[in-house]
Amino acid sequence: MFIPLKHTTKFPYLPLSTIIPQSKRPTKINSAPPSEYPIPPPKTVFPTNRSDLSIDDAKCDVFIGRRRRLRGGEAPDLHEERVGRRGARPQDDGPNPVVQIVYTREFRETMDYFRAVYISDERSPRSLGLTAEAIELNPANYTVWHFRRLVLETLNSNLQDELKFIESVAAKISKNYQIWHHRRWVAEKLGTEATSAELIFTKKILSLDAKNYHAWSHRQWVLRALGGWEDELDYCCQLIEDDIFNNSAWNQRYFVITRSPLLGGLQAMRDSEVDYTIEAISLHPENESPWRYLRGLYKGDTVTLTSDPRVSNICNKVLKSNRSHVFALNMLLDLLCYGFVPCEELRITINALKSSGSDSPDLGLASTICSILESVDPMRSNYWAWRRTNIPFQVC
Amino acid sequence: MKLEEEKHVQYILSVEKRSNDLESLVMDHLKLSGAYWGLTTLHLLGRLSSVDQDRIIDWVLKCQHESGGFAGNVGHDPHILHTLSAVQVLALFDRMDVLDVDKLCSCILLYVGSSSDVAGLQNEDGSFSGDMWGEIDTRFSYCSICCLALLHRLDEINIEKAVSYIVSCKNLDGGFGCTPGAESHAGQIFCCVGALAITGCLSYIDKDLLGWWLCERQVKSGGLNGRPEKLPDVCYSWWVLSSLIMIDRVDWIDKNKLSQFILECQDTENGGISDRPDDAVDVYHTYFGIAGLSHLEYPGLKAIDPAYALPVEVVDRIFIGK
Repeated sequence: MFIPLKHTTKFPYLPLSTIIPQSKRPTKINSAPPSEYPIPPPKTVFPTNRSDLSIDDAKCDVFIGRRRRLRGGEAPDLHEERVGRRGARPQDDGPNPVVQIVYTREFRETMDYFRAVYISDERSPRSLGLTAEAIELNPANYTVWHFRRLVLETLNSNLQDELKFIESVAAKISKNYQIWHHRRWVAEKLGTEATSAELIFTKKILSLDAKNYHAWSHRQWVLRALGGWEDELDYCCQLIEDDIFNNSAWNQRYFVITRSPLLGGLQAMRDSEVDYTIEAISLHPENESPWRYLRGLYKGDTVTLTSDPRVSNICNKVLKSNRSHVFALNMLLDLLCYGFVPCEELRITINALKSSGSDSPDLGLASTICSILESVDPMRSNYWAWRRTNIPFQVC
Repeated sequence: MKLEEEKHVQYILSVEKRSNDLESLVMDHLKLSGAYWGLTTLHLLGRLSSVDQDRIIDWVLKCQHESGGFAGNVGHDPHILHTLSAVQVLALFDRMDVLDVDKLCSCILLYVGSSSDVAGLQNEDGSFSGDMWGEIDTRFSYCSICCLALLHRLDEINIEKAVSYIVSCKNLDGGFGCTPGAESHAGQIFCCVGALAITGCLSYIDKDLLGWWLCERQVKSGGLNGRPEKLPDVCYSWWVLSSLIMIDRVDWIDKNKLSQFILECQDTENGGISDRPDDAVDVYHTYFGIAGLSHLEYPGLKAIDPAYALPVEVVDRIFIGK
């Protein structure tokens, strides 16, 4: 089953306007193809015998040349086009979609030529050019990328140039598995020589979409395989400062403090990280990410989590601040279930949150929290009701 | 709102027949997966008989590569994603008999050459690659495991290592990512939970913690998102709901609100379902919307298995017999 997750483009269904970049759209529409248009190879391009297929070399070369002219020089700068447009409607070409027909013809021709060199396994500069054309039209076509790698290997091509090519493709569509897999293949071949280029590249992509799942995966691979951890925690700080709700940045932060060879691991980092996280929580207590991060800092060590006064204090502070308190209450509920004994002040604060109509003063504190959550978060009322039935017997 | 069943059937049939426009050219390389989405949807709607089964099976078999794996279409390279789609499509038609199972399995088991205790697409650390190029992702663990299980050949990989790799991708929030340390994502969670369900290893999941993360994915509109602070999307009706069902925590979300959200994403004029209300429809979201409604027990829809992503009656046929 193909699993194009939401963070990928829904590529095959993306509006065509995002597949064919603006720069490639013909401005003039002719109903007849230009006279120098080469005739593509026959449509049935999957002969079992490779020798069945011959390519008209001259026509193919003319075709590539024409496509280069059409493209008008090098690919656009990374910042030229917004990445991953969402929710756009397909291009409306009206009752007579001539533009679409031109795209379709171009698309088909390119793919026909590509198939011809693919089937004859022609690993030439010309084939490399054709894969570039085909990738530009449809970067999700994995077969084209595969063949490109074979050609690159055979031609022993300059891989620095290949990095530039990938960058130009990623400028248009950066949410695509094939591009990133190819990038990694090249970086793997270049080794540590590629480290800083890869960190810069992913940073560039993340500056356009700070939650791009592919870019994050690639960056994590670079750090693990090639190194470059020195500035990573600072980078996480910067991204969290830019958008404190960015869960990807919080995840990366956890990745760094638990895996960086330079920081000494979770135990060594915990104390300062708790302070950092609590500050983030006090800014936006409705932000799910730092609450989960805070739990992660105590990873399974519920005794330390429960006994660290900073944790219960931030909960208390949030409850008294009259802001969104679902996550603070949930943390307190966890603490109570782990054996936390609240001070009188905290009890009073929690009881004060009960709705005025509530007439069940004898509920234990944990049950009271569940009741409050059931009413303030009705969408998950079943979850909170379940929590109530699972409060350990000794916790009241 | 109600489900426009007949319009969705007509929409899928129209996409299936389309072969000449640009969208179908762009989709060319993953047509086999597209076929799986469309055909499973028709099955859930009780309308699989509307298609020409023999023609489709002929075409599916033409997508098989000499290595045994299937490509997204005739003339493309094989990949585990499409290999699973091929098996699922044949399972829908109850025509697994046309498969050369040994040949197919060899692409997963013998692809790269075998070492002492792992072989083929499986790597030493238990992870799986998608094809000969070696990209690693928990999606491919799921595809390989699901595919082999449907073919009754699961015992031929190193399950212990496969499971331990998936468990190594577990995060502090109870979710899973594509590789160890990668952010939790509802789609990857489905793959990991599905693989653990199929291998009988759900006990490795912290169900309460993951269940809470998953039910936090429901946003005000009733739809589900795939990560915190992201927009809701109909496709997560499948990824999140299936995961919640597998870990037995599906009651933690508001099912009525989710049903309403999915129904609002229908194109009530021409059929099909989109990611969010008023966006353009596609087969992918039509499948996930209807599969999601099936999980929500919408009247008239057949039940779908949350792990194998096939109608329950098809899964029963494979594992229990007719």
